[in-house]
Amino acid sequence: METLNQTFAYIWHNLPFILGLTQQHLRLVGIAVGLAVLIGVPLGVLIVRFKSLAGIVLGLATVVLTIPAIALFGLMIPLFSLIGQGIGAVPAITAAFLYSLLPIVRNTHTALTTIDPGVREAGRGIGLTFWQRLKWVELPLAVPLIFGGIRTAVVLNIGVMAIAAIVGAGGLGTLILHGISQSDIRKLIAGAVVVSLLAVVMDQVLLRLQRVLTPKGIR
Amino acid sequence: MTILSSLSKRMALCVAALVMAAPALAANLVIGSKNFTEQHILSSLTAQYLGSKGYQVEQKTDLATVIQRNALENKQLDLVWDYTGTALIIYNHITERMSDADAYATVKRIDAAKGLTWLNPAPLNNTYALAMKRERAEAEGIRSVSDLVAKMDAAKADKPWQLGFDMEFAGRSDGLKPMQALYKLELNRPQIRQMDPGLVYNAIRDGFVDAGLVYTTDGRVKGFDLLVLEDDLHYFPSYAATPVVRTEVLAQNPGLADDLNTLAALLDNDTMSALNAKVDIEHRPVKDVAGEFLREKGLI
Repeated sequence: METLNQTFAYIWHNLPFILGLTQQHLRLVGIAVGLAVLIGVPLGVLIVRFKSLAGIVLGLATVVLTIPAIALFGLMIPLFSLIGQGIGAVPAITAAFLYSLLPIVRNTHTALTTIDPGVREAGRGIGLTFWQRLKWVELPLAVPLIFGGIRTAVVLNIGVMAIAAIVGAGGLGTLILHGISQSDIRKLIAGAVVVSLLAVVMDQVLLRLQRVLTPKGIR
Repeated sequence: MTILSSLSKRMALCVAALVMAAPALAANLVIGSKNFTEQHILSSLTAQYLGSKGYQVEQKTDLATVIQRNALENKQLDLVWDYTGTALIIYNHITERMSDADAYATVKRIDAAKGLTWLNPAPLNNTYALAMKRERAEAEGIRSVSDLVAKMDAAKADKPWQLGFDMEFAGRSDGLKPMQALYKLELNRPQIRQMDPGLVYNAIRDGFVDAGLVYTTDGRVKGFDLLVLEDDLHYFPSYAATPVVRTEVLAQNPGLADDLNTLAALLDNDTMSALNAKVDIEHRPVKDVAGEFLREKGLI
């Protein structure tokens, strides 16, 4: 109880600092997942069009997700050192981007391949091409599932980004690392709690956004 | 369908806004620090002191030793505080025993060729040591590492003692293994507990391990009442904390070397342990502790 009170006192007295770290954390995750959406959704569409690629792309994305976060960050360092960006935001964003690809690509792919064949036939029946059907029929129907993938990616990477502090990217992991290295349980709890809260809140925010963006007809 | 295009537009806007929001501050000195308290303090001391001298400074903290070194060599960092022993053993794989002065001269010479300058070392030797709870060590009559090894041998069959090490030391080919060889210390796997360097102190205090590897200037040695065991066979080299700066940066900033040497000269073992204790025992913010010290010494 004592510890809990001290933790709350710590959070209260360091609110601007913690908010700063939270903002930094969100920005890193936002850029990574944002890029993953820009690349992942088209990639998901592409592997529906070119079925032979689906196995390879989804396989690779799955393998990436099995690499432990701490190892992936470690692997980014020598790679980006070649262009003088071995520490900081670049390796952290790249790692989180790679982690985001699987949920986004797979959900896009699943959404598009599980669309009611009748709907697809109807599209064909009125003479729409593949791309026209995609734009006007299939992608709008796929919004809930694609968003599900984005939400998974965001929640996953809010957790993963807590490790990014070891490559100097900052974020809430800094608080957790300091908690450990300074034997300061308050920082450790504060860091862990804020990371968890952030994940829950962002999940809810994206859920709302998903509802707004889902076409009325399938809401 | 407008939903889709507006969705993609909104996404693109979000990404663009986030990218733009990244700070575009042009810092002219980037200070690196490793992932333990002393390094955080050294980094903060340097940042505040140089800041008061009109330098634009940026701190990158919590880097693992080798990551920090790579970043310095790749010019992502301009200045770090490093230790002679670390440079000798980890970066250059020199395990030969040498005097403190020779160790410093050797790393200075090697790094000069790489465009890195070792300024004057602080009178601060943050070497490794094995430590135990004082009460326990006194009860068992243990004063040196050799005493510890003898006790551990005696207790082996009955209840094997456990030792705590940070992962870096346990994993390095020049860390735990040669130490075991020198002290004839036999350890079975379950007796070696690996953890974050900062956790070793708590583990010793709370009795999760019987002894563990500590840094001699860490505030928790005094704060948790630990006894540093004498390294009677002289295994651990000296680790003099020294500002290491890219030579190019020194050339661009005349006066920087003098400033850093002034700061380094003030930091001896007692001073550093006291500063470390303020953070690790009293849980005061690193920035406050460093600022207070600088004001006390009239540096800012």
